[in-house]
Amino acid sequence: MQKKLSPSATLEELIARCATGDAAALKALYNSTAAQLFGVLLRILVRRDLAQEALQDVFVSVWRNAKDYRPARGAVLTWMISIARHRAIDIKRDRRREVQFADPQDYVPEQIDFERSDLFAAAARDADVSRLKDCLQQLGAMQRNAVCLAYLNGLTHEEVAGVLAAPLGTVKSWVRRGLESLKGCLQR
Amino acid sequence: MRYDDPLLLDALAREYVIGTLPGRARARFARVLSASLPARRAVANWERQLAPLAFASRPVDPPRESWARIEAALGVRRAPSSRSLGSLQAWRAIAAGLAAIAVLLGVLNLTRAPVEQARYVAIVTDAATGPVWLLQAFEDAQELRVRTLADRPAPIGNAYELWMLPDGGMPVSLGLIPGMGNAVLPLTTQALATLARTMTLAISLEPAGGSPTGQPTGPVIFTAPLVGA
Repeated sequence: MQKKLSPSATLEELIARCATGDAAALKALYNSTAAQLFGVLLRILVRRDLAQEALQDVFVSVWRNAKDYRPARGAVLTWMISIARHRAIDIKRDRRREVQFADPQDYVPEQIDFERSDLFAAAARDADVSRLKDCLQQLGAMQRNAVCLAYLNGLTHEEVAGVLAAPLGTVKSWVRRGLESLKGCLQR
Repeated sequence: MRYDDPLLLDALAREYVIGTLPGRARARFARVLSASLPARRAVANWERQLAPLAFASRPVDPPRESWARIEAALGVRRAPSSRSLGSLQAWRAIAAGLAAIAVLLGVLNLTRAPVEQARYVAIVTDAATGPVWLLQAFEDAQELRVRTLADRPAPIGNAYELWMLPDGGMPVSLGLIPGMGNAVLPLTTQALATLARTMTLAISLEPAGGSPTGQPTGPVIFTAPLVGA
């Protein structure tokens, strides 16, 4: 028989139970995280069917690799977001030839609504996000846009250059410097 | 490329995490990761730092059938009449599948017989690449266990649907089967009766979610003889 899961079971507890083959724990994990992960996937993959396919892959992977999860390497949600982003980027790069992803003009650089972005709402609830938001604000607008387009939308350097109408070399340097500044700021 | 330079490693980890490493370099670095602890640390460090940025993506409720698909892909779905679920059944399905493969390879004496013998078995084979799915129907458990032998993700927006082609009758759907991993499909008593007069199974490519008409609408991409075990 399955043990009842307490409503407050932490993600760490759920992963530990997944590692023992407890399918109810996977369901609970899904209920807690699927919407956040689907949002991340959808932003990269644009198409709902692709994002759904990726979501399935993520949970299959989480179930199979739950025993390899190490809290020392990061929180459960961080781990799952990493799996999700890598899966989404692999799908996006693999299918480039068969799928027309959104037109560069469809992307709205974060700069436009950064002050009203969801990141600001999330920052109010979460200290890590709040710190990241402060650090993002310290970046130049173009660096911030380049970083967000690459990280959140899964764009290649070339695609970012298309969206921001900037030379490729400049974009590469925005992304690199933006990320290095972020890292430096976050470690302070 | 040298991966023992910490600065280079950190730069590669950064590009890998954000996703801007070009295709081949990305695949190469993924291989390095599995062998290199410093590389894994560098990646974990960037992932931890940047993960909060993912909260800038607004949560979106996934399509309703997503969870059912995950269950199907993992073979943890509770059969309709089922008593217990989950990992035990999944492991039994895997064990039974492995046992059946062992039979095929003629090494049965190396493995223990599974809990229940499959009543019918079919192996779906791609003439070009070899076996793709192992399908086993269990009479007592009233379920059809699907094991993917070679990953074959369905094309975008499509799904694989499995059909019985009974003697002198129209095709009857057994449900959707995954392109990777395992699944357990319920078999009703009626389906088992139809299976008894079926010599051939077929797999068609249907729109995601399955045939809208109850009959194959897409191309039949595989057929496989159904063998009584």
